[in-house]
Amino acid sequence: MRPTLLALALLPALPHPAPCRKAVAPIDLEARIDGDPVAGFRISASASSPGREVELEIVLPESVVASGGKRNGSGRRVELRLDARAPDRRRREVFVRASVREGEAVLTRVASLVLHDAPLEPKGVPRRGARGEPILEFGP
Amino acid sequence: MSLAFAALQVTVTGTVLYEDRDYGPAGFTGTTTPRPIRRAELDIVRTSDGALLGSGLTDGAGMFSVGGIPASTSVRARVHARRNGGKINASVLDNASSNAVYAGLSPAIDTGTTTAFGVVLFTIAGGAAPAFNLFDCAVKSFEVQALLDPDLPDSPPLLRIFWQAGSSNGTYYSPVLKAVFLLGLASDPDEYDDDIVLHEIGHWILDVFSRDDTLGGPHSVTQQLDPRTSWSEGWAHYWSSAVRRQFPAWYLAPHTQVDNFGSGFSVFDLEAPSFPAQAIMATNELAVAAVLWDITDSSNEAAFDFLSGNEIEVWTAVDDQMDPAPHLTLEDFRAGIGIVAPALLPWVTGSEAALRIMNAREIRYFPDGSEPNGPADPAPVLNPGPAGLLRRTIFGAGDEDWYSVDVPVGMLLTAETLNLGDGGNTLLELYAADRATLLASNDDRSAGDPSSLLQHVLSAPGPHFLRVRRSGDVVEHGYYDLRAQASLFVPPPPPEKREAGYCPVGSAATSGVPGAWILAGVLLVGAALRRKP
Repeated sequence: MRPTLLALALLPALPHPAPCRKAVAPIDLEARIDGDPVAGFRISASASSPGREVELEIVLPESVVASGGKRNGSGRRVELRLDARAPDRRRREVFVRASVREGEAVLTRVASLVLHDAPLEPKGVPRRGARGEPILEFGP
Repeated sequence: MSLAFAALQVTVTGTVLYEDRDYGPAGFTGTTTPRPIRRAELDIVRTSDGALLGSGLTDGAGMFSVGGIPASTSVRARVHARRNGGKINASVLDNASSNAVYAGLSPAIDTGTTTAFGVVLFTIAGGAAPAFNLFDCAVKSFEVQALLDPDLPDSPPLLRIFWQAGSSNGTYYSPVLKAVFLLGLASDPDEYDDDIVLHEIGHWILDVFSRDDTLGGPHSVTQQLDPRTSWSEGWAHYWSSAVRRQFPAWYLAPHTQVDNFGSGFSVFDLEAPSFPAQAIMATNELAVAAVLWDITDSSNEAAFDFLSGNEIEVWTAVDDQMDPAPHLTLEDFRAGIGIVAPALLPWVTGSEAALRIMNAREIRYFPDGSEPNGPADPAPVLNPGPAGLLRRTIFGAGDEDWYSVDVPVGMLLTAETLNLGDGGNTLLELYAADRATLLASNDDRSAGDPSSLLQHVLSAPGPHFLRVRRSGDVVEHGYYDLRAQASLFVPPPPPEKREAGYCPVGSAATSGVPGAWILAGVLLVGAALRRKP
């Protein structure tokens, strides 16, 4: 099978519909997947933070097995490559986590790499409430 | 009421709870806790067709009691993540397109058999629990606001919170929609991050009840920001902690701010504060938050923090005293506190001689030791050399600082402001001995650098005068270092020689002009000494 680029994920490079966004960690984080999840794929990740040591870790979801490479490292600039394989074509997420620490404080960024992306199963039933307003109703 | 009619109607009761994910300063603990769905709107509906049979509210324990419900009827309780009344007005909605309010529907009971729903727990797996957690954050914020603000109406302005499982639309406050939006990603699930939710609600509070002039954009707690942005973000951090402080049974460490991720977490501390080398000046959001926290907290640092309580004073300054200011920053809050509680001010700001809450974070809202040095005052001497004068403040409307500098005739005087603090922006002017003849001036050293740099070859003996004033209209105060240095001046060669390679002083000179090299060295030293917050 021809290797396919499945995902290229920086931390969400989202539009800025509003000015007051939550604070982010001062970390440059890049992560990507190359290859087919079932046949075998490679996760490449890098992180750096000006003047600080970064801890970088690739967190595999359950059932995804690493076959080579390195899951974690630390330094001013860290690069990791990890080879892995998924058992099937279910939707799963690999998290690539980068953190800087100072004392008790930790600032973290997480990039998500999705294997076999698919829409999440919707929960809740759209209805009209007792006063005709739209509601999304859930059971216990 | 006849006995026959009374027999046809019953009062149904129950308790509604939601499953909350526990976390602390080390992130999610892996446990959950059932918590009451407090102060929410609740309907009793007929199971067969959903017809509305009665309405009520949950109390602080999630309990409800709704009368007038037909007997011998199958009914359900529908609790909404919504309330308008009782000094609360909040709705938790799925997205800005469908605007559907989250609701939880109980199992059915037959009112001919029982009138008690018992305890109904809305779980994480069932999908409704996150929305009820968000609703409870809004309820907590309104409850604290009601404590602080006796003028809060029974139906305050509407706070809308948008969240949806899988939403990647960012976590932010939209001043256009007056609404909070929250991420619902597996990698960054903000629906249980009360600290973050309350931070975004803090932006809503500022926007709706005061004013928010933030420039927005990406930001970090370790960054120096525009002072309008650092005020907005610092206030929002403070509000998150101030609300959680009122619920000690729920939050053991309200002075910390935690952001949980699918793996790992962020946490920083307002009390310490974290990143003390970066959390300085009015242009840092964590410094602003730490100041507000220290004004109100009861855990006082002996060296500089002598204040406790004062939540009402802080609220009143923000709610009532900051609106007219054209660009809201921490210095407008300081002015507000000065109106609301003038006796607090010295304990908040400090002075050259006294370390207090603000100057412990290198926020310097007070006159410096060179004052008075206005236009009619004797000008302190600025000795030429690399040392200069440090941390001179521009304090008070119209403050201008005059300094006397004496450099031999024929020398090139280079004067500059450096290391601007608290969002300061200087205008530097050189005057002749009469303090009236302007010889040179500079506003911004370069585009994006509001410090000032001027050069002038002195042609008359005796002291000259430097005047430093505020420039720009974002902040009124701010501080600076001031330095003057003398160097040999090499006059420019005649025009025919310029063509042979002359480069003016300060450019990327490649010619062998000695004066240019001397001055370039001075400038390089100056650049190296610039503070890098």
